[in-house]
Amino acid sequence: MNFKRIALVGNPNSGKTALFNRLTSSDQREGNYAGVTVDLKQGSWRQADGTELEVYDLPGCYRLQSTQHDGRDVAISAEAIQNFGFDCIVNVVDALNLQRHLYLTHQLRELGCPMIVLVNRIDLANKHQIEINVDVLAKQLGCPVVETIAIHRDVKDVLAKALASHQHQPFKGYKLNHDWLSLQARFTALDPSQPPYKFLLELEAGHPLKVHYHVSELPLNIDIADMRYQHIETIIAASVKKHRSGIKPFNKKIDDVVLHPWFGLPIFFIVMYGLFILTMSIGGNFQVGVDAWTHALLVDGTYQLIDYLSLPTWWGGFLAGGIGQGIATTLTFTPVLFFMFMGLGFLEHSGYMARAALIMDHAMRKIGLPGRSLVSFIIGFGCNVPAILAARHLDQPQERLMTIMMTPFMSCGARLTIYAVMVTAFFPHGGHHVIMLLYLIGIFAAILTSLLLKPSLSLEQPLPLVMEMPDYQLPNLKVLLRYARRQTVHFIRRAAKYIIPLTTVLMFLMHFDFYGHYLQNDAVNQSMLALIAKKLTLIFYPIGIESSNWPATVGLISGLLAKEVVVGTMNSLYGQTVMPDHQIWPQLIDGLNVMIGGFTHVQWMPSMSIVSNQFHASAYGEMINAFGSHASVFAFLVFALLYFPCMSTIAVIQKELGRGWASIALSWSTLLAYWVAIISYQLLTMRLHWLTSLSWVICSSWIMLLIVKYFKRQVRLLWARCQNDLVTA
Amino acid sequence: MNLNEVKKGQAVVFSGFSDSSEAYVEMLSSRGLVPGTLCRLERFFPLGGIVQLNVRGSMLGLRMKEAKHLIFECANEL
Repeated sequence: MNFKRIALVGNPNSGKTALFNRLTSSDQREGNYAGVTVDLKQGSWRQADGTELEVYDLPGCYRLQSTQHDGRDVAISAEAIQNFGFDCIVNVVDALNLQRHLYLTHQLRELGCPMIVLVNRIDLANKHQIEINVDVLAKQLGCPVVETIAIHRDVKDVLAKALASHQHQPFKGYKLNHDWLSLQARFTALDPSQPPYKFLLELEAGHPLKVHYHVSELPLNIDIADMRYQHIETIIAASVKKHRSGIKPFNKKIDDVVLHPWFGLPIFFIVMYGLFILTMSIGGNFQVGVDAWTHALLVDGTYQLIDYLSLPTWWGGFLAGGIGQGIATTLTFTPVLFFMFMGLGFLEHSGYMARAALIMDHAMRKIGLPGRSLVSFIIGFGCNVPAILAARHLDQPQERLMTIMMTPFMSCGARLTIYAVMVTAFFPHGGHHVIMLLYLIGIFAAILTSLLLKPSLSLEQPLPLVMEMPDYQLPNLKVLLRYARRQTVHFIRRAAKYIIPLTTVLMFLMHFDFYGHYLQNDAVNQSMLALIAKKLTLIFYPIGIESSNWPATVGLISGLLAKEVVVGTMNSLYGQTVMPDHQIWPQLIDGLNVMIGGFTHVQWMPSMSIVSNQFHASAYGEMINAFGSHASVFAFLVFALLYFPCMSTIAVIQKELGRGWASIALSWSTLLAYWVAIISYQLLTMRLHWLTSLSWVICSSWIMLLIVKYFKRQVRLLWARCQNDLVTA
Repeated sequence: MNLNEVKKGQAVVFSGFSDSSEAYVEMLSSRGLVPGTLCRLERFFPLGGIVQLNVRGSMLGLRMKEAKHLIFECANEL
């Protein structure tokens, strides 16, 4: 038979996506916890002989039956395996947890479709003195078995060879040995009128026959599971030799520390804080150099080129001061983001993330969520879009909904760039505490959102938790680098996608008035952009932003598209009055020197001044003058943290939950942002005008209470209208 | 005995479910916990809500509140 479509199937965290990436040269997200792949992924594998195979990477599942209690990811897999008609199933099993992984293998074998069992992580099994005889295993299972390491290069050859051996003959089913035949007879005895395996699938998926066939003290499906496990134990006994007990001492030692009843929780907080500090320290050192280089090349270099070509001066303002400055500022933050993604990747791949979810389960239940939601939230600190998709592995629709609605309040990497710039200018010492505070405000806003949603969602009894803890592993540096590179490139692409057209429009609006006259830099206050933005800035009066600070408003508006462009936009606008020095080489050399110097004297408790020394001092000067006070800056940052999630996030919420929930997410977040920003500013400036501030606090809080009441009603109505759709989805 | 009577590090044999939902029974059985399975209570998590159970060499995290309906027998009694 000629294979055209193969599927990678297995338990969660068995290495399917690593194999998929290797086969198809893709770059899909990998991780060391259950639920990384939440959707069907398709790729093309060009084999050595030139033929192409369609490869499908299915979300991990433990069994072939999907019930209403399972997450969407399990339903997708179960549906695909049974109905897509794949030419061959490649069942990836983990050599370290072979017995449990063979349960799904057993069910797949019962289906009788062409399949190859790929025993992954054989190197680790050998390290743990577990010897797997694949020939005996193949004989026992009655289908081909190969052993390999999914992340190694030779995996393609191993699998190609195994597939080729299948392709030369028409598939007529595998021979069943005595054990299989005996098991088949036991299954058939349950209902002689039905073919045994299809019948079992129906039975286990909640077929009404279950009641009639309740033949023992246990439910019938447990009897069946027991029969399978008894058979699996026979298979394991024949094919696997363990030279040491099954307990992995390395895992136990680490768990003894990180899951200690007293120290486990403080360790969790230290790990999260450490991630943040390392990101800012190491990333910050690179940032200085990258800033100098991008500014020298993209801004000063463009100015020099325009001088050289004798183009009109407004070209300089547009290309160098606008687009060049915007791109340069955005690129400046790539080192910080790269190291943050490296840190998040380390947590995901090491196996700690799953444990952190369990540590926090008890606390998360107080707001109606399972600990597994924490995975979405931690991913959300990198980017909200994959974090929202990660909620698919949650079982209950209410839990999925709440997690998705809370995730946009997790401060993503793009928002970190806004904090970094503002904190650099206004809080040069101890600025990381301000950033930490902002992250905490985001978390509190998420909790507030959960309290808003929880009463209206008729939360049922929580589904029971059975979560597998992955083995600890030292993350592969290549995999980490690839992960961080992918996320950083995604950030740059998104920024580039918006910043060039956006800056073009902004520069046009900024350099022309309503009568079509071109304006020089010193007259931009009369431009179309300035006049429109000044009107809009009136909205921000209660948070301390005056109409003269209209570039801040434009920055926030640009953030509706993507938070990545806020800083670039603001820097372009504030930096318009800056006269460039056009010295490229000294800046490049200075950037290198400062970066090397930074690494010889790494500041582990980062002071933001290391960034500000090299940043565009004049643009900062403009910004400092425009904001005027620390209180208004803080209120601005709070607003930027909480308001309207970017367009991509809203699009994903709409895709996952529907338009109604997306509308609620964007309106609730923006109104909450406005209220929290008002409260922050008014409380911080209360000693200057206590009566006015108190009035603002009382009035805005009263209006907010009405808004909360309104949203509660809307949530209740919307949930009543669409809960069936969400449950069946 | 119930899980809350099992001590840390104790090896026990799973013998059945006293009052568990169908979903829970299915989840546990597909992860290898069927009657007769030898397992070990590895630890209680910080904050006390979760227990770590070693089942067939895999570590499972279970909520104490739900897992207390599981019935075990001492391994050395068999």
